[in-house]
Amino acid sequence: MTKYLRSIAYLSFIILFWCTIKLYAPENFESQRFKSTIEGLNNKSVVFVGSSRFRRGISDKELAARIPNRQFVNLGVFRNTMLPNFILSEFLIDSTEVELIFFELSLLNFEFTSSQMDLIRSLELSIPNSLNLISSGNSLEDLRTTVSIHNDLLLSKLIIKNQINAILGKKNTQPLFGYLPSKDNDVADESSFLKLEELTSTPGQKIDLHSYRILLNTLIRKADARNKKIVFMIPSTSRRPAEKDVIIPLFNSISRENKLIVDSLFFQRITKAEYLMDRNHFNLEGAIVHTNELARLILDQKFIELPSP
Amino acid sequence: MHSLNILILGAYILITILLTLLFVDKKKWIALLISSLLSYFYYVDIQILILLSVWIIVYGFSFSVKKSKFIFRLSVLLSLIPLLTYKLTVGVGHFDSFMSRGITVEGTNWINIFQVLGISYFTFIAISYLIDIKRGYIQPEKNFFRLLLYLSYFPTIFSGPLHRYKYLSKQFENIRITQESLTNGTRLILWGLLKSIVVAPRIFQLMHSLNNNGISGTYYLVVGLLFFLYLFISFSSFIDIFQGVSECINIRLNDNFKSRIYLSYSRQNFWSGWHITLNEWFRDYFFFPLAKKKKNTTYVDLILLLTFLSIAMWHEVSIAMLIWGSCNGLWIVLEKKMNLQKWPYAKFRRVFGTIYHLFFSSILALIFINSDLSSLIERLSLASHFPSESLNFSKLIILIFCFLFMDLISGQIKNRRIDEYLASVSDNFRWTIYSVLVLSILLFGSIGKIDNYYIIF
Repeated sequence: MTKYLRSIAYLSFIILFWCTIKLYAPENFESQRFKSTIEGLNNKSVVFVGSSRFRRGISDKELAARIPNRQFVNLGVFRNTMLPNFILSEFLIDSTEVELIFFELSLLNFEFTSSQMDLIRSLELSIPNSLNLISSGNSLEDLRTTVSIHNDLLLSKLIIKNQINAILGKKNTQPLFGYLPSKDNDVADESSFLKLEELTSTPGQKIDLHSYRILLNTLIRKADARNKKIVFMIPSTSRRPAEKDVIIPLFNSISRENKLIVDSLFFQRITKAEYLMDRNHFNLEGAIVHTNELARLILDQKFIELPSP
Repeated sequence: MHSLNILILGAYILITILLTLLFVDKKKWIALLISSLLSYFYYVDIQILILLSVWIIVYGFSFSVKKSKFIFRLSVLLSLIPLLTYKLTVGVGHFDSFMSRGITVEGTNWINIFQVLGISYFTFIAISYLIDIKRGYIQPEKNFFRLLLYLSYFPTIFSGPLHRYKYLSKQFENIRITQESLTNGTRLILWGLLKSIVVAPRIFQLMHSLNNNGISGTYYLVVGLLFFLYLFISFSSFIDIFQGVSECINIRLNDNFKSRIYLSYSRQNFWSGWHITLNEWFRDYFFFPLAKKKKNTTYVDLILLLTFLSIAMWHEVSIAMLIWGSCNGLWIVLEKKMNLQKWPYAKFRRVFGTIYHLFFSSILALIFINSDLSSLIERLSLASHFPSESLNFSKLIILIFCFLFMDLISGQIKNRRIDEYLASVSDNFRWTIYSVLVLSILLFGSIGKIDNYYIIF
């Protein structure tokens, strides 16, 4: 009897501890900042939705200096891939006044980090809803994806490390989203830069792009219906050659009016090893050059027009 | 690549328990067969046909392998064809492919057909089954479906451990779900979860961060050391979890690792406790049959080297793995020649041995993960740089705390399993350990799948 009582006491302690943390932990500082940034968007807002490559390589301040009649917001999140980018962009189209979204093409995988979960949850977004769109045609594969996402959701609800950090008033060592420059330069070669020839060459292996196209077309359709614009961008660097096999054919399949076309001058100006923080990211110097080049392309391709003098 | 997740694990246990209630004691193995096939089908879909074809080959030939050498060799060769095809056609660079998870490649490439979960596992046990019949250790199983259960038993198909037919088939007759079996199973699962969702991912993140932030020169060995630890912790966590799942239904799986294998004091000591069942398989079905022909030491050393080359080639057919296998084989041969066990100052030898083993293991781990050896050499020959700015100290402290907790308990466990160890301690201490385990998982766990690097092999 004592043995059972002891077991019950231990279990009750753990459950009570977990419930208390869950109930009383304040919202994470970064989640609050994310929410208020989104709430501050208006019909002059131009947002960049992407991964750490956007965070390191696109300076919203530099863009605002070049194009003064718009509010530029970098919403890049570390390790963001196609699905979290899609979920956020869909929300921005449906629920905000944002005028233009630049969307980074990346791989579609079904793994979420706790930061991504926090940010998605702060906007009360649903991951499973987005999954319904990308049926692979194979019900077992769809089931595996759904189970995998629900597993991540379950774990993110069970694990309380972020709540503990919030109670302790501990901020994230780095902000979870937005422009984050770095002065480092640990790369001696330019092999990770995308090259213009790669954009026109035939991919090495055949990749199934069906799910990618569904996501992209959904965003284009929704943006059109709400009189907004979504523009897809190809990342300028890639550490993994296999990623290029996906994003290059994907980028090439998008119609001209929905993608930011990169030219030889763009590649010529950004491709320098000294501009890299690591193989996948620009450093501060690179970010300035890269952002200015993007501004040039955005204006040249008339996604934004400067006010008449 | 397939990952395990908690929902699937829970569903498997629940379905298995419910199904066993439907069958009488003697027929409970049918419940296991159904749940195993369902779970395996969930992961591999139509590729389940590969397992089924190996099953048909093995069953068909098992009654005649004793009669003719030709039939025996043919049956082994036919069973090996899917695995050989996969190994000879899969691309080089297992580490890069592990890091590039999430890319959907069209299934039209015929090579992908053989890239199926558990292919190494069921091929190895199919061959061991045929050889054991040939050697007269066992009689061929007459029941078509009991053999299928042996090949497809879900708790072992993810990444082993490997089992002889005799060992598992006896236990299939003794399936029981009791309070004790569930308690022991839960203890093992909890222990495995600590390793797989707290310690292993944190080591992996640290390794990844250092690797991507320009660590170079002699400091690059730290990446090798971290990979070595990660590989052990993630792999052994899978074994713990599946031993736990299997224990719930009173089937005891073999141990595959000695606890604290990372503190081995020699390569011989290491290999005696690393991936034990695979090494025993290579020893019993490859090394012994070849070595027994001649007693000459040089010949035996050569066979030993050949065994390690085969193990390396099983991992991946590449130059890097050839070098990795040769280094492992030569290292063992060299240690045997030097007869380290007989050196004086046993205590000092152990401490020094651990440092020496960790140092060379880190180098081998770097060879293991670098398919391009020239870039490995280039990175090692760069000026030494340790990117300390990329370290997050609170994360590092949590990692050290969790690792030390795991190490401390592993030190206490010695040659037992965690469930046996916990049964041997006082109630208060046991519940304190449970609490630390649960709280560590809730406080420091990472979101995501339970990954095991070895699944890619």
